[in-house]
Amino acid sequence: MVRIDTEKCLGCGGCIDLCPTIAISMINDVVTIDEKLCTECGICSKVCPVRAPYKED
Amino acid sequence: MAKDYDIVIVGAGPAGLMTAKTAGESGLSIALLERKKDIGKIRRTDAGVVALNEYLYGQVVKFNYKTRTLVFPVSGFSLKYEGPWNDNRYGFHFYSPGGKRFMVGDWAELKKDPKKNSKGIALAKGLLLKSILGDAQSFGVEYFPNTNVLKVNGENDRVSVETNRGEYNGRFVVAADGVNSRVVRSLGLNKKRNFLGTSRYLTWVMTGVRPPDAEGLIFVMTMYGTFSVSQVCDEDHFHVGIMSGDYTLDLEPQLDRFTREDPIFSHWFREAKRTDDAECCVVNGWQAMENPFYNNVIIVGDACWSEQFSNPPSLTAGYQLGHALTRAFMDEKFNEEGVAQYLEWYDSTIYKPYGQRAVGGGSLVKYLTAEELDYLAALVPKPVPSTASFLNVFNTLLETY
Repeated sequence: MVRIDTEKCLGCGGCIDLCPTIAISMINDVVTIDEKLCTECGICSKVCPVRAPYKED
Repeated sequence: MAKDYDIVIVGAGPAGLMTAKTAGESGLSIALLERKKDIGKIRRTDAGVVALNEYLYGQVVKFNYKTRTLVFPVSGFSLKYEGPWNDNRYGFHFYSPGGKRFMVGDWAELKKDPKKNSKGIALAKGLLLKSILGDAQSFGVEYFPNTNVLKVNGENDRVSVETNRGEYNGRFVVAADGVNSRVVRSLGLNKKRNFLGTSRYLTWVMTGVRPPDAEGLIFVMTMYGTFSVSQVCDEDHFHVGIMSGDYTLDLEPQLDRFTREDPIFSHWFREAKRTDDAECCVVNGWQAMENPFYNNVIIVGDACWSEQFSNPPSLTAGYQLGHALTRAFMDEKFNEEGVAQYLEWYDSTIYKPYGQRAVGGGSLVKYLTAEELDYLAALVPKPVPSTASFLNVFNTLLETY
């Protein structure tokens, strides 16, 4: 599954905007991925300026 | 259970807030939806600058230092601003990879009389936004932070907005959700627009930065990235950023290299320190929207043009749309004709004069060598007038090469 490294994430929200399955939201100013909707397409890590999203087995 | 409003606005940035404030003042019932919890904390790279002259789309702004008011004489409105500011801005400097400088604005001369000659003012954008929000709420606008929009279902004269916290219905929905607008995408409105490319930005907030002159926006073109250096409103604080259209590039190491190792520029940063603050953003650049209206969804601000990228045009667009919506309700015309006042303003002020030009994504280093860039930058050794339009300078260079 894909997770967000909250230490790296600056909260710009670019991944939220560009996620094709609307799997990412901002909850209490923290960028959060909904596992049920995420297809692990990798677009979020491609566009992230600080490479905060990472894959975890 | 869905709640009904006259207008549902998605996004509490400059455009959405001004729409809410303006339409709220005339008594319309408004829901303002925002995904952030605290709009006062800017977490996305933003210039935080209000240009005071005609750089951007003719939206001239005057700052009244005594009353701390931003006055927009072209459209005829004003905003209170109580926060810190820095008006030490006189234009742009572009550096080539070898350190040659092309100057827009004679900073040394202009800074002798800042109040007369200042070309822009750096503000704490979060404070400005919170002040507009306060006005909007005093007019009865209902504000829903922490609300993520999932989908907009556009139908004639009644639009529903699905969020993670329920559904909101409006006669009109305003998409003010920024440059990568989810509303615009979910309605399929990007299909007709040219895609200009994806750019990523990373900005460090630093103190102790010492470029030769610091009274404006500095761009540095190197062969490994394009950087910007600019003073912000807090004493001795600078934004030092990198922008890149190459998504395979890791930005942080390049910014580190620029500030520590670049043979020409790293000496500007000898005494510099990073603060805990940093900002970043991703921009999917799209050509301007020809008609920002679709099934009673109206698109405003960066959502309808990624190059509308500045605070004054977005504030102005929101102001224009707020009044157009008021007219629509007075005339009971809940359709495209009802908001014609805004659509005509957008067409004549933004789209026709500027919107058809493709500015985004251009990078001279793709076409020129470091030596050629040095040669070009040195061709004009004296500053050109600071009234030269930033967009025109870029376009001329891009069109020439």
